[in-house]
Amino acid sequence: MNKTVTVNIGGIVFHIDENAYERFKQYLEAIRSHFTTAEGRDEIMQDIESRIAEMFQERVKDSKQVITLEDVEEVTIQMGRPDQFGDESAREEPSHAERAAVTEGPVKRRLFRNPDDKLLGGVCSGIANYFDIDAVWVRLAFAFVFFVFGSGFLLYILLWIIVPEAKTTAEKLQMKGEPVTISNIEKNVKEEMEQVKKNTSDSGKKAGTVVGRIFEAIGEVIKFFFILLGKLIAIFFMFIGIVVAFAAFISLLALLKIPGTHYPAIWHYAFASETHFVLGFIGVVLLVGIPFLMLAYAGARMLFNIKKSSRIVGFTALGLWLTGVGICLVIGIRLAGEFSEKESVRKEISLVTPASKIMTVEMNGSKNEEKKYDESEYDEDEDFYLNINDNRFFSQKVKLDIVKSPNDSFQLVEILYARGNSRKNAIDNASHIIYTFTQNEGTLKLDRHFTLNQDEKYRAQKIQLLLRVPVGAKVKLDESLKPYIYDIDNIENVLDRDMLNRTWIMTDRGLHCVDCDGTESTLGGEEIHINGDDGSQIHIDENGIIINGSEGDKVKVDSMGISIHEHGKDRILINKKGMKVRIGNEEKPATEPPPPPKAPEEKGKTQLQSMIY
Amino acid sequence: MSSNLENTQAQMRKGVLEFCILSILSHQEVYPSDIIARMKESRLIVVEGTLYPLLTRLKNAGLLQYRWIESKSGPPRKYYSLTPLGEKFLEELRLTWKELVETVNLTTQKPEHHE
Repeated sequence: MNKTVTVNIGGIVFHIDENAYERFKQYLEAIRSHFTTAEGRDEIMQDIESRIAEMFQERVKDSKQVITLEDVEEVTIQMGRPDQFGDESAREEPSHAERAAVTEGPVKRRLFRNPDDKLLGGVCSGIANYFDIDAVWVRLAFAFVFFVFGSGFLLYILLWIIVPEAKTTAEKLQMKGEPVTISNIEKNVKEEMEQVKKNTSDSGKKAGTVVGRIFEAIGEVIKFFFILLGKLIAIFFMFIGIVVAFAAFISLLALLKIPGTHYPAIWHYAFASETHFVLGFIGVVLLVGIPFLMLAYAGARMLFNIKKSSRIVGFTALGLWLTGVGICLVIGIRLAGEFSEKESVRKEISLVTPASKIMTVEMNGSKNEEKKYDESEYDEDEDFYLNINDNRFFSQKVKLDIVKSPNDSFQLVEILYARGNSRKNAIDNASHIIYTFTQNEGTLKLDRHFTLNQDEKYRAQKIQLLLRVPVGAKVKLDESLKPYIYDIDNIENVLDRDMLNRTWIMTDRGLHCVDCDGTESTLGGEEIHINGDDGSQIHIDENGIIINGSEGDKVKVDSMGISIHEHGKDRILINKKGMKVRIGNEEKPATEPPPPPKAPEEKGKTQLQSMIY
Repeated sequence: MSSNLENTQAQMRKGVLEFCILSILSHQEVYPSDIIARMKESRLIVVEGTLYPLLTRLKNAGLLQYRWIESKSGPPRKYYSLTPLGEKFLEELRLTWKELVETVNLTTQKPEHHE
């Protein structure tokens, strides 16, 4: 009695004894590996298979329906052993006997994905085989790189696509670095067969018991969920990949369609030429778009179960991506070079001292414009733009500070900053900044922005203005200065926003507020005095803290202790001796000092709480 | 010694193998099994496996073409025939063969005359 296997040879179904099948399979593998490098291997294999199918068919009759080992032997003798074919493959490479002899020493390994030991695509296992180490280490390394940089994931996908799977026994041998000889192939095939047999007999045993069946069912369910999960992940990849890649390429099309039109990004004006900008843009699109496109591709492959890996696609993608990297590097380095040096140019302009010795400082422009900049529409990113009407660049990178004048006149100092590819170039760029202001008696109107001629580039230009105020003179800061001032030193340490709409006098010690009654201010060095809107006051000095409530309540904290008066009636006093509480006119004895008795303290506490709430 | 002889014989057969196959194909459209039958008679081919790679290579070189023909008993068969290029090629081979036979005859017979 013999177990039979059903096989499809050249499109015809045969029943074949199991031992005959093994023999036959070995034979085909041997032929296949014989033609590894011969042109049209698949076609030759097909021809041989169909011929064998024919020969088998001649041997099958009504009385004898199964191909036996004997049949296989006869057919293989008729067809011949691969080493009897001799001629064809010998045209391109030494025969197997010779090759085995040549490659007796170290054999060149080839990188394949390993289908026999895989978690995902067999990439790690293949790499492990290539370097002859345990796959666990490669997997750990990939997991590590994935968690640390996230790029390990993309690398894995890329390798999955590029590296071919080891399908034939010959390829598996090459993967492991063993010489491809007929004996090796036969050995390998035998091992695989035994593995298959073992697996089938194992599952047979398992299925025999009820527990085994249950496990099998659970296994099936888990398998199903994993497949489902895989598909969902695949759809997710595809979605993300397609969206991002699509967006990247659309933006590229938009760029090529309307070059030179209004591109708000300062970057457009930072490049040495339009070509640089377009190139750089293409570079970035490739850099970002290709990996996501590959992600979509990988997703599609997972989703539709495409096993065949296309090396052309992978290499093309890798090539394009590397091109993108190259472009970005070259353009980026050149661009960075344009920004390498930072220099400033200083201009001092004397102002006419007004008769009143009061200078009102405000920003130029209508109230409407002010509103625009004060509110949400003021956008830091847009502060360098091309005004199409008069072909000038505008920038709002203007800052104002107020300092003491070294002499007795008002002065405005413009410090113009810019970057460039050399110090000279940076100075040159800075000196091209055009800034204007007007003084009308006691009013100094500063421009909100500086301008540049159209042939200038963005080189991180900015202006720091210093208004020098002589000692004894006053300045009034207009509301419109709000976005332009930052941390102006003053004696009272008032915040910038509270300095506006007030008049300040320059003293030897610095700016001093002239009309700062009311809201918040600090008086003198060691004292803080705060007036609340409802008439309450807080006063802090070296003696302690006094809080006066609007309804006559008073809290005093000093070295003597804490006292709380409510409208002159109830009183709580805490000092070294203990705690005294008076409700109405009835005086309660002070509780004992806190440490020893716990209960009274608790009592006092609750009383206190009840009074407060 | 005998392996040397076998090797030389194989080399000689191999040289004329292509010529013979192309000749067989020049008369009619042929199925590989027919070629094998004819070749086995003349002991040019020992095993069938030799033929398939050879046919594939000749086809890829543009000398042969084939078409599928349904078979009553089994998978469809490839029937091979010569392309115009193949016919030209064969013509050249025939000329060379003729020359070769003459020179070989001449060279191999000479010593006998002297004896």
